[in-house]
Amino acid sequence: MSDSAPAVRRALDYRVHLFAVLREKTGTDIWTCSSETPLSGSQLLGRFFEAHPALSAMRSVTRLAVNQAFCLEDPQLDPNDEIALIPPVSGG
Amino acid sequence: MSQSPSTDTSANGTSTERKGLECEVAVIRAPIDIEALNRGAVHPACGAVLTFSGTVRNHHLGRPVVRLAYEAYEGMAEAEMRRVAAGVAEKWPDVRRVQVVHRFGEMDVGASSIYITVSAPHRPEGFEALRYVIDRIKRDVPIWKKEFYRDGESEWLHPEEGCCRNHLHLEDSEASSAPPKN
Repeated sequence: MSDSAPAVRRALDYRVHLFAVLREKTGTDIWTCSSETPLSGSQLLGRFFEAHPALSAMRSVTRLAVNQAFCLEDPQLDPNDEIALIPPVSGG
Repeated sequence: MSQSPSTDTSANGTSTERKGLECEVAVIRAPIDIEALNRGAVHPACGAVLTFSGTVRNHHLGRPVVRLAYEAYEGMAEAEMRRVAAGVAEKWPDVRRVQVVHRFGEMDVGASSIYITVSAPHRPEGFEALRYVIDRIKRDVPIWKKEFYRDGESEWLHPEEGCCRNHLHLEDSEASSAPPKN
């Protein structure tokens, strides 16, 4: 394509890291969520659990991590962020 | 593990110094070198060296367990363990050294899945800090345990006690209102 091609509105692709039961039940360790508009954390969580209704019991206990830290869900996410869904942890 | 606890790096096998606390954390697949950690815990200013070994147990809620597998979000697990250590530095400024190594992958009954050392001048703050470290790790460090039972079944453990999406523990101020940038 030449530089003069008409600008196409590109979807934002959020890559979301999954672990433990979320990874195993979805069969992937990265879930990609495409959106025309920027998403907040809570919108992204909503999309994930809509796409995976079998996991809906985890919705109220799954935490959001952005760039390797737990994070409130209100702010808008950047597709360049490292995003992860953290089900209740059981290390130790 | 780093040989120079005075440096501050955010790479794996990290060592960090915060307000006089020497802290080393690691999330590793290999068996934990407990002897090395015991040697590393000795500090000339510390009369109390406390150690904790979390060990794979052969039962859970009455079901026989034959082995465990741990999965880790390695980068964040180490970052979160450093935040736990920062909490120690804040609450017990006399504690001089903390080491935490968490193992992941499969392990058999009897293996040490986590080993913690806390070195303090005196035992009261050492006991309190050690309790704080393991409790915070169990609440907030992104590592998950899968149990394999003798009957052939297996299950991820996702203890939900006290956990919900907005359970961000703002009292400890680890959670930020805006995503941190790398």
